[in-house]
Amino acid sequence: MRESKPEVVGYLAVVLHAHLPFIPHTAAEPTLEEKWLFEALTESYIPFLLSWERLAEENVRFQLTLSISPPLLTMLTDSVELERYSKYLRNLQELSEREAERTRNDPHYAAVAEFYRRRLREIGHAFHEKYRTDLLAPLKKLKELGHLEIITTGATHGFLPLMATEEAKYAQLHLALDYFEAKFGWRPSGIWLPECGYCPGLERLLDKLGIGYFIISSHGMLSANPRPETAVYAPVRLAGTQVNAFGRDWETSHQVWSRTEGYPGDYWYREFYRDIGWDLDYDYLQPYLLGGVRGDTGLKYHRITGKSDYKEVYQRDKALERVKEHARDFLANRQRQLSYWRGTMKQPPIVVAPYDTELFGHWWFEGPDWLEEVLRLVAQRDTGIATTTLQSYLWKYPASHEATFGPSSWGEGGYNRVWLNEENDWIYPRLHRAEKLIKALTEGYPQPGPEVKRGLNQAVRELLLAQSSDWPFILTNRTVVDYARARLEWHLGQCERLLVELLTNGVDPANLRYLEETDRVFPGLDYRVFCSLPASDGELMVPAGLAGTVVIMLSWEYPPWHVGGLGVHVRDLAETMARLGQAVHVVTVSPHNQGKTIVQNGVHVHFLAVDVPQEARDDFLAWVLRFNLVMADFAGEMVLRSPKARFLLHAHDWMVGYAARELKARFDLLGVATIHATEHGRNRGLHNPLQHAIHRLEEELVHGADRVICCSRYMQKEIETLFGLAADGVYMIPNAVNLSPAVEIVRKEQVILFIGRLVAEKGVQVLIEAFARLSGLYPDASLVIAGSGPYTEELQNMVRRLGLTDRIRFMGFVAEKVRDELLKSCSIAVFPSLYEPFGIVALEAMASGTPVVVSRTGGLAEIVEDGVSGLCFTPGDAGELQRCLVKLLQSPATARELSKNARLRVEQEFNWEAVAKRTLEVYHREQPVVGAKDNEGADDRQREPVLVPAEV
Amino acid sequence: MGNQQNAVVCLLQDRKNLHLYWDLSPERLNTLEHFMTHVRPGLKFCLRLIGVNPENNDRWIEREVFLEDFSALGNWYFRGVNPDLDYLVEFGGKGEDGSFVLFSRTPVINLQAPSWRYKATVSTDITQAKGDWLRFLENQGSSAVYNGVERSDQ
Repeated sequence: MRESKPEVVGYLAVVLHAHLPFIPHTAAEPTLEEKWLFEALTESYIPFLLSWERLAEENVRFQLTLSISPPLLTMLTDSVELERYSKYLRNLQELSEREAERTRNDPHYAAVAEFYRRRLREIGHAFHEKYRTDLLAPLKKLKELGHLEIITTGATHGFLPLMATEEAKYAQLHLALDYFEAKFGWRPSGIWLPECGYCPGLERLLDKLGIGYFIISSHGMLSANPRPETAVYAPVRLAGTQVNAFGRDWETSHQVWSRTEGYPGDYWYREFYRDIGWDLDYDYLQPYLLGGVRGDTGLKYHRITGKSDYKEVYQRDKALERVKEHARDFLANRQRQLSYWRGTMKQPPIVVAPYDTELFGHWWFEGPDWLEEVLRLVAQRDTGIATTTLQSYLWKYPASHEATFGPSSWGEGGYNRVWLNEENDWIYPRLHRAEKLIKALTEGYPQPGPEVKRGLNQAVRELLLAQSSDWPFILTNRTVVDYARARLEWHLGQCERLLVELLTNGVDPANLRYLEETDRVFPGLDYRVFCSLPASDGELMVPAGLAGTVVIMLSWEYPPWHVGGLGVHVRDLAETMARLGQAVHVVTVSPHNQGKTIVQNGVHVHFLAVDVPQEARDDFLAWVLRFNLVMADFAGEMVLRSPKARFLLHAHDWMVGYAARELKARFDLLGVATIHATEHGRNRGLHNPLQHAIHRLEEELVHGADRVICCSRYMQKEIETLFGLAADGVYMIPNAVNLSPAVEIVRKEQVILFIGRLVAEKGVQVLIEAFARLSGLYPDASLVIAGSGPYTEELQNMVRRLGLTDRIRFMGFVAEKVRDELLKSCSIAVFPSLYEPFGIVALEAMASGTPVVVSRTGGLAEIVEDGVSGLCFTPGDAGELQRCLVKLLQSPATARELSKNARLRVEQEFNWEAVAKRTLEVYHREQPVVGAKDNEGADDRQREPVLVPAEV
Repeated sequence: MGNQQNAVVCLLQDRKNLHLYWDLSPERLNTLEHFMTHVRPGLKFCLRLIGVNPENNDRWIEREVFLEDFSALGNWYFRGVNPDLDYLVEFGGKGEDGSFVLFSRTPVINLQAPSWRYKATVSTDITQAKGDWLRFLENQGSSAVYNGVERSDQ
């Protein structure tokens, strides 16, 4: 009769996490740090292998999950390390043989010495003969037999929650999985997060990598949202992903880990701190001590005995009795625990019991024996419990609930304190700098030459090695502090050196070879793992991998979001340069606080979001500073991500002065500044602190630039006078307009138009007064004022006072298309500025064939030839303006003649192609403008006003 | 090495303590000092700890710290924060008139599980016994307390 399968009340999932920090073999002989590996092999790893093979041979049903870190995997498969371990083991065996002989007649120590002799023989035989130094082969066999699930952890066991970038976290995970697959031939389905360190967002990276589960600390699981009603006894899926979290069971941890109540502290167990390496004669021990330095040998003859220093001799048989008792106790607790939860859950609960592998055997010598006994007991038919791997459990019982998780770890305190405190916080700025620079450079070198590739690969290796959680842990616990600090300084220092070399003179080949040989993790590493995440900036793209000469134009405004002519100028100049084959990237401010990159007519325009606190929204200069900082950071990233490109900086007006100054100084860029207007000119002097502050910023921009450009002779003189530059210290390149084909237009009669910002310096009040004077003579005439600004209300009041509200219309700000329509349909366009550096709207009116009347000031006087291409009047003189208007209203033929000449002038002298070419010439001149400091070398400067001919 | 981040970075030490560091390039420091000397004299370097309600994203200034003897690389610990809130930190210049000019701001740091709208298929009706068990577990404190085996040789 077939026996019915006993019901499984619940599952026990033992998870062993095996990790040691990567130890480079820099010396000819093994170092004390390599001894950590040798001890772990002798006391933990090989004993575990032997134990599991024994169980398998006896057909004991058992399963457990083993995590092996990549650094450990590297060392376990490194021929030099294996050779050194072999030598160490033979040495230790020899010592144990001598000890067995020495103590043969000692009634106290003979038994324990003999125990070690036999044990080390067994381990030596296993390592040399049975496994032939290949420790992965038995693991794979156990996996094939269904006893082991093997997973891995971060590439160098870096503590992920304290990394600055998603790329760094992703690189740790991605490299680990690739390396694991290269060693074992398959990809693990789960992962051990280093130190159980979880932070929100990690699950997205795990999901992307196809990882199905990880283990989270008990409190991490219990504080999930919503809190799982199954506590830690069932997996929970992370919201929005296919990744599951298993919660660490508190009770099983306590029973093993607790210093005071855990099993390892039992008085019959071996005492770790008594070793013959400290007790016996040095000369006797010297051949067996690493480097001849007194230290632990692993031959420990005493038991814990009690809390005092008095220690009795270790009795192996008594210890094994305690092992059995503790195993039975552990099982009983699991039965009770699982039965309780089975009563309240729909599915059999799982107890997840993770431990550091090295705890068993090294710290708790009897640990592997205890675990073996536990596995035997659980496998018995009537326990109601079965062991399982985590993946097996998930297959049988997929998670049925979703939740989000907060930060947690299994470190002391439950969060990040072990790895972040006053002892070790100094490492994070350096680690984060390296992360970000590597990320920038990996994007900047999509197709590097062989040396650059090797340099980048090694920089990534050094960063990975610096990221190991072991170093900050050691600094916190103040154990081998000097060693941890030295390792950090070495890896960080080498990473930083390589990055500087990559950015400047090229990598030192001898140093690179040395690093590749000593810090030799992940031989197949490709640095591009650092840029394999899609950009997470939404619609804002930081350009990378650019080559050739690239112009970065800084402008506080850009169409369609502009209030004046500056943005239009920048756009038209940039687009024309792009048509001429020059790469141009405009960096400007988004009005919607949403970053976005567009490519428009060949120009890359980056609209940057600028966050300003609510209380500072009205603080103009604070806003200016803020967007300058954002611009400097963005453009700085651009420069870093394109190490092969040659960047030129072109700043438009003082509002981007801080960004320009910072970028120029930081990256030693050629800096060009265009001054569109000055604060002094706008206000006819400086009358308050704000104006003085702006004037100072203008001055700094002018003096800090290598080349200064302005748009009219008037501005040229103004800049030279105001800022103390030498005569002709400024390049004069006029503005231009885009010409649409000339079309015969039927214009509305007697419609006078103004377009521009409504500020006092534009002189609209003069136009209104002039219109008022002629309104009686021309009852059908009307005035259209298109624009907005702080002077609007005052102008509207003026119109009301004059009783002309039915004759004068305010349209507010108009878009370019509407502006063009207005210019084409009006009979006269008037620009009555009191101060006008150039007057681009006047140029646009001339280009559209509109007769213009302008005040004889600034750039307007240079653009319009009085009586030829338009009419001019004295600034502020409403009477003279009225006479000009009457002249044109009375004689349409005169108006047509003037507008024809105006159009021709624009075609010949104010086209964007000529302006763009001239600007490019300024960029590429050999000698910079040195302004007030030195007049030599400026002999090619414009001495007479330049009205750029169409053909250059 | 150059390539400072020009950023303030806030890291969680634990749910009641935040660590902050700032990392400025010489050029950035120059910009800020210039602004604070010539454009807005009287500003002092200042950190503001901003509490964020995770439910509705309401924000308020919880603490302000003036930084004396400011240098381009430095750090600070905000201790005893409220573990039921989220936080961010602003770094800027504060004037005697109470005005604050923002230089840099950290992202929001989550101190607890992010809120998430879930379907109420999960019963919250915990049996008395289960509730007792959970309370027992919680009253034992962090399981990580028991992760205290000394690794004295590492």
